[in-house]
Order: sequence, then C-alpha cells, then structure tokens
Amino acid sequence: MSSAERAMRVLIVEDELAALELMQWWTEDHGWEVRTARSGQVAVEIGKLFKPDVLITDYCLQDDVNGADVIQQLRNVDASVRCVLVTGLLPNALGEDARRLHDVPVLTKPFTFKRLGELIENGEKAAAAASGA
Amino acid sequence: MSQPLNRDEGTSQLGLVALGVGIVESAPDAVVSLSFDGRVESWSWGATQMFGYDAEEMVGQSIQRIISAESVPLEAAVHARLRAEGSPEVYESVRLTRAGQSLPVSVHAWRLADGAGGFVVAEIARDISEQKRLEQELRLEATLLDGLSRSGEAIFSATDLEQLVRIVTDAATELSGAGFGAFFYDLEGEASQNSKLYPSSAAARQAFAHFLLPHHTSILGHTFAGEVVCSDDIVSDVRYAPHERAPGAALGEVPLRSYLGVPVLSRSGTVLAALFLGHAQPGRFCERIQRFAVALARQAGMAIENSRQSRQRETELSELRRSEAALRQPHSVYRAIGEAIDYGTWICDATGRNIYASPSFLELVGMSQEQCSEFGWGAALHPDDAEPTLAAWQACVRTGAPWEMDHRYLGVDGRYHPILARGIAVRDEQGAVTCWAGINLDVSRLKRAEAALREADRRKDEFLAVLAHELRNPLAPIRYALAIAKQPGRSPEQKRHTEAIIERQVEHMSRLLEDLLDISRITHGALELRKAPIELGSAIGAAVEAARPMLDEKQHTLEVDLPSQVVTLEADPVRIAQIFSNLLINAAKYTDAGGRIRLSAQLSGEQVLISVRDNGIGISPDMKPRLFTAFSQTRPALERVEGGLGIGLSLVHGLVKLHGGTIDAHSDGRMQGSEFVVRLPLGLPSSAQPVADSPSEHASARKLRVLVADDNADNAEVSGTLLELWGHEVHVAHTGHAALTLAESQRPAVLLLDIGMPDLNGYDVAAAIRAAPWGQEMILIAVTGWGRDEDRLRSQSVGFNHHLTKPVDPTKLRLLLSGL
Repeated sequence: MSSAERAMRVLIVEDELAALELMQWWTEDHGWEVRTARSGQVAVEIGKLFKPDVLITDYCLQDDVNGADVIQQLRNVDASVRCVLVTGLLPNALGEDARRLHDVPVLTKPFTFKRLGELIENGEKAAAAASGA
Repeated sequence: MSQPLNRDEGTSQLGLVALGVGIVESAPDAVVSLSFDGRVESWSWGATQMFGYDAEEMVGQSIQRIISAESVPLEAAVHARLRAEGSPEVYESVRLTRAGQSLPVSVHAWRLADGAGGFVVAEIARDISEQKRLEQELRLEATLLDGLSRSGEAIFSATDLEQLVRIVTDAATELSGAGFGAFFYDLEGEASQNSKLYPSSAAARQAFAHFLLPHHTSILGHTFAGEVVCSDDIVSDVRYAPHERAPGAALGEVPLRSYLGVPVLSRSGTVLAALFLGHAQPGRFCERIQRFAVALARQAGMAIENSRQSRQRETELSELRRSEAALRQPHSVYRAIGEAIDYGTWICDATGRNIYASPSFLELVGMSQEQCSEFGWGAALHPDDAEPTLAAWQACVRTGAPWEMDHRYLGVDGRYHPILARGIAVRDEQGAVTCWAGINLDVSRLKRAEAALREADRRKDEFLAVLAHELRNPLAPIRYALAIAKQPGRSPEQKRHTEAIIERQVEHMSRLLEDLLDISRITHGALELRKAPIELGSAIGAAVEAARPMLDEKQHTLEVDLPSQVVTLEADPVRIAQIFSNLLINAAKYTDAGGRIRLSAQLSGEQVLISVRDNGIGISPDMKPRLFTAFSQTRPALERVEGGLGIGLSLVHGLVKLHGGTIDAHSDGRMQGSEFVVRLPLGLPSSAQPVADSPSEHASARKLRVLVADDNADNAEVSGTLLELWGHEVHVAHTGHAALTLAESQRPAVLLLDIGMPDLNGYDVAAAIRAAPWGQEMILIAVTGWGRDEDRLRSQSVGFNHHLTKPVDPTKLRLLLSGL
C-alpha cells in the first residue's frame, strides 16, 4: 500500500469557497495530503504536477472546463486516479458527460462526509486489490 | 402511167369489183345496201355476224326489222334526208339482233347512183356496244363517287342515328340502282336479336319480309358475321337455304333476285349493323356497286360510332354536371354551420378533385373556386407539408379512410396559417364513394397556446433544475460545517468560522426564498409598495450593505458616486434598496474576482438615473431580449454556475416598473462589461431640502427613549448599540415581564418587542401596554422571524404600530425611527 510510504494525495476542485474549505478540513483530518483548486483549468494544472490518488471535483465550475473535463484530462495523465464527481444538478442534467464517465461515482449535494469517505475507501480497496493481483 | 392504165382498163375494172367485194365480205362491220324504200338489197358477212340474220333472210326485207323501236324515228329522218339531199350521214342508233338484244351501233350512210339513173343507200354499221358499256361504267363510277361524297357529308352532319340510317339506306338504294334497300340496326346498341329493319320503302319492307330475322337466316348470318355477300340471283343461291323461305313464299313470288349484303363495321371491326340491297332483276350488282356499298357502309360505321361516342360523352358530361351542381348546394342549414367555422367546409369528388371550398378559405389563400379546383389548394401548402399531404390524400382517396391532416397554408397576408383538415367519404347505397366532404379548422390559436404551454413547461423544468442547484449549493457547506463542528478538538476560531459559514448560507437561502416569493407576488399583482418620501442615498447605502459580503468575497472594488444634493423619491425604501442590492450582487457575480463596479446617480429632469456598471463578462446579444424574463437562465449558464435563479433581474425589472420607472441594460458583448441604468421618477423637489436634513447623514434629529426587549442577549445588545450610536436613549429587557416593568417605569416613546420571548411573548406585552392608561401613545414595533401577512395582521390586532422581520435591517429601523 502506497500510504505506508507516503500519505494519500487528494485534489479537491470546488468553486464555492465555503464548501471547499470545509472539505479541505475534513480530508486533512484523515492525515491525507490535500490540494485545492477553484477552477477547472487550475485543477488540471495542479493535477498534472501533484498527481493525486483521489480527485474530488464539482461538476459546475467557474470557467469553460467542467468537472467531467477535469476528470478526463487527469485520467489521460494517470489512468489510475480515483475520481468522485460532485454536483448540485439533477441527475439528467449531466447529459453526455454522464455516459462518458459512467464508471465515475456521482455524489449529489448536499452529501454526507460519511458517504464521501466510503467512496474513497472503496476505491482504495479496489486499487489495492488490483495492484496485489 | 396513163399508158398501162388505158391498156389494162378492162381487166382493172373487174379487179376493182372483186377487191371491193372481198373487203365488204371480210369486214367485221355490217355493210348493207338499201333501196330508196328501205328494203335490203345486199347483206354482208359482217352484217350476218352482227345481227344474226343471214343474207337470204334479209335481202328484200325492210331494214325496219333490225331497228329498235326507239330508233325508228331517227333512222326514218336520216333516210328522208339522204333521199332529198344526198350528203353522207354519220349517226348512232340502236339496232336489234335476231336474239332480241339491243345493239348500239355507229352508222355511216351515203347515196350511190345505181347506174340506171336511180339511187341506192349504202351503209356501214359498226358495233359500239363495248364503247357504250365503258361510257356507262364511267358515268356510274362518277355518279357513285359523287354520291359517296355527298352521302358522307350528309351522314356526318346527321343529328341523330335514325336520320343517319335513313340517309345511308336511301343513298345506297338510289345510287346502286337497287330496287330495295334496307338497314338492320339496333339503335340502342350493336346489331342483335333486337335489331330493327329500316327499309327504303314499303316495297322494300315487303321484299325483305321474306327473310327471317338476322342470325336465324344463314345468308344474313354471313353478313352479320362480317362478310360481304353478293348474289346475282338469290333464288338459285345455295346460301339461301330453301327451308328458310317463309311459308307460302313460292319462288315466283319473291320479288328479290339480285342481292347484296354488306356489314357495317366499327373501327375495331365489330359489326354494328348491316346494309342490304335488292333488285327484282338478276345480276344488277356489279363489283363497282359492291365496292360503293362497302365504302358507304364504312362511312355509316364511323358515323354510328362517332354518334354513339359523343352521345355517351354527352350523357357522362350531363351526369357529371348534375352531380356537381347537386354537391355544390348542400342543405342550406348544414352549409350555414360549415360557413360559421373558420375556414369552412370543402367537398371533393370521388377522384379527390376539389369542387367546393368555403369563401372563408378561398379568401384566406386568395383563390377562386376554379383555381382551387385546378389544384390550387396543393400549391398553397407550406413546402414542408405539400408532399406528405398529397401522398396522404392520394392514399386516402384510394382506401376511403377518414381524412385528418395538420398542415399550413400560405395566406394572402404572406404568413402560413395552421389548419386542421378533417373529412370523410360520402357513399351511395352500394357503398361506392360519391364524394368527400369535410372541414378546415383554424388551429392557429391552439398552436400558439400549445407552443406557449411547451415553452412554459420547458422553463418550469429548467427553473426546477436551477432551483435544485441553487438550494443544494448553500446546503452543502451547512452540512459540511455541521459535520466539522461536531468533531472534537476544534479551535474556537474554527468553530466561529463554521458558524459564520452556516449563517451566510442560511442568509443566502432566505434571500432566494424571498426573491422567489416576491416574483410570485409581482406576477400576481399582489406586491404592495409601502411608499414614503425617501432619500436615495440611504436606500443605496442599504443596498451596498446587503451586497457587501459578495463584493468582499470576490474582492471587487466598489465606487459610489451620488449627486451632492439630496434626491428624494416617493418610493418603498425596502424595495428600492432591494433593486440596487440585486444589481450590485448581479454585477459582483458576473465579474471575475478583483473587478471594478461603479454605482452612479444623476438627475435628469423629473427623473433620477442610477447606473450600475461593471467590467465583467458582459451580456451576449442573444441573451439580451430575455434578460428581464424570469427563469431565463439556460443550460450553458448552469454549467458556468454563475449561480442565482435567473430571477434577480426579473425581480428588479418588476420592482422598477412598480415604481413607475424603467430599466435598460447595455453591453458591448462578452467580456466587455455590463451597465444597468434605472430611471426613477423624482418625488418632491430635491433642492428644497438641505443635505444636512438627510437621515442618512445623521441620526434622527429627535432623541427618543427606546426600550429593546429580546430574550437573546446578543440581539438585544446589537440593537441597543446601534440605537445608542444613532443618538437615542436605550433600555434593554431580556424577558417579557422585565419589558413590561421598564415600559411602565421609563415610559419609552418606542418599544422594540421580540415576539418569541419565553415568559410573556411580545403579543402579551403589547396587549398589556395597550391596556394600561399610560401605554396608548407608545410606538410598539414587533420584531419577529415571521413576515407573513397573517403575522402582520396579528401584530396589528394586538396594538403594534410596526412589524419588522428578523434579522432587523438597520436601515429600515433607522428610517422608521426618523419618521416618528
């Protein structure tokens, strides 16, 4: 397990400052190494350098790059990045992006941190099983 | 030459006589000499050959014996002239043979001296019967041809069949020289059992009566089978079977000997009728006459066929006209019903051709009935509708299924009109379609309503999506904050931070809800303005305060530029502040962080112009027309999550309008910034009031004694602090009882009473004060979280003068106190 050598890296992308701060606190409480971004373009740039294990991104962002684009672009860099898409929209509003990212779990706001934690841990176990096999 | 002639004179004379006798005796012509009294003196071999009498029989006999009776006067006259004058005569005459046959001859006669002082007549007669026969045939040919051409004209100009049959029969009979003519024809149809006999005369009827009806008689049967039958003598003809002779008609009694039967054929060869010619003499119908009869029959056939076709066409045409006329005039009542509909009724014939359309429809498309019938209706269809409509109509006419079609017609006004056409096939007793009838329904209103409904539905769905988004977004941080706060080991600073977050989000959500309710009130005309003379500066100040958190969060620079003099409006201060806080929040939201926002106002006649300008993302031209329409944010806006319900500007627009003002938006396009300009009518003359009097600059001129009652110590503290800063004397109570005691002892001019106090609530305190003799003049202000109308009514009913909702807006409070 990589966390034995170093802390798990989490990138949070959220344009709403309050939500971002709180998610940052919560993830840092787990002892993870956290970086944040408030726009899609910045997220992609940070992601390329930071190489997160987990990407938590809001769908609607302040620029022309939405959460689905961020996931796509960072997966192109590292296909093993575990992603969670967060949105306040109705499920059908994601349209084509929902089909494109059918394997990415979608969390609808306001979700509980418990649920977010489960998704991250499940992904972690799956990744461990995959690397152990 | 004369020498030998003289020497041989005796021999020569004998030789000449012998030569003459030889010539006379061997010539085919008849050479005869007669005495002056007409008796035959010499009779040549040729004469014997020609007339059948020999010289022995004729010499000494009168020449009269061989002269035909009709030629006797002529020949007598010739002989008289010969006797008197002696010049030769050449003439034609008719002689008789021994067999009794007439023989046309050409005669050359002259006078000869008989050597005894008297004279004899010599004549050479030549048989010209062949020449005569040719002449007669030529004459016949000419007559027949002429007759044929005349009969052709007559036949084709005949007005009815009976007349035609008569012309043919008469012409055939007359020109062929036949004794009888007859025509078998069924006027109602082809030659058949029912054929009738059209005889040329009564004699002909009798003559042909010996023949049984056609088809029963073999000789007629041949003709009815299409064969020309000609018999020189029918009596001995094998084709005329003896057993078919009518009973009692002995051979001698049959007036018919020559017989000619010719079929009258159509162009395709069908036997239409038969033409019969007969003569009492045998052998009268030569080949020429047969050909003539065939030609005549052909003319008759064509004429009959033409007549029959034109009669059929006429019948069809008149039937068509009759049925069309009948269809064009439906029962007047039904017609009236039809005409009452826009765009009336229509009728098509069984083939699908339009034969009637209501005037209202014809007027709509600008056509005459004739143009419509000539398929004008198809040409007036919308290009996208034409092909499917025509295909469906053809299928409908083929199958007889009910017609229903939604299509658009080009009107004379140049616009397309949606019309719903419906119709059904009208059938006769046998179930055959006689015509189609239906209506054209104007469905433009329906279509417009449909479109409006769809648009409203789409907007509603969009709005719900946006609403969900807008409510979830502030909910998310609240939930996170609660989760964070619950965890142990939080520093006081972190706790305060999370609380602040929750407060901000709750405030945000409250504003959303208030905006929503306001929009609903404006839409239903239920929003009431509480107008009062207000100072623009203070309203703007309140607006800036409300927008401040948003401006600070995005680190915008705000510049406010107001006129130096006081600007007074007759307006609802809360709503005016709402207008500009919305515009400022809007500007903050749609401008990237660190932007510049400028609010400026200037007087212009009876109006004040207030502009809110930013250097943000601007307004795209396609967005502009819908800018002030509620719920107009579309999906692209969603993805950008600029936030908001898309009702802010609509609300602003509605509020400005309620104040009798206008609002306009300007932008040079995307990323070019936006400017909103609000024009509001001025209330009182602004120059009348010096700036110093403005409550926005100073606390109220009147110092009031105010009692603040609130069980929440912090709230009471905040309000108290503010009131003191404004220069009032403040007393604070934390319970209802304390408030009542202080009110009695301090006799404050104004009481701010929280409704939700645990011991005595605000209503109880107010009621008690109003019940006390000293409490009548006090100004009671209710402070509550409930802002509904029924809450206001309740507070009014127990004696409150004013009603403020929590959190108390400082501007509102200050304005309220300054007005006292």
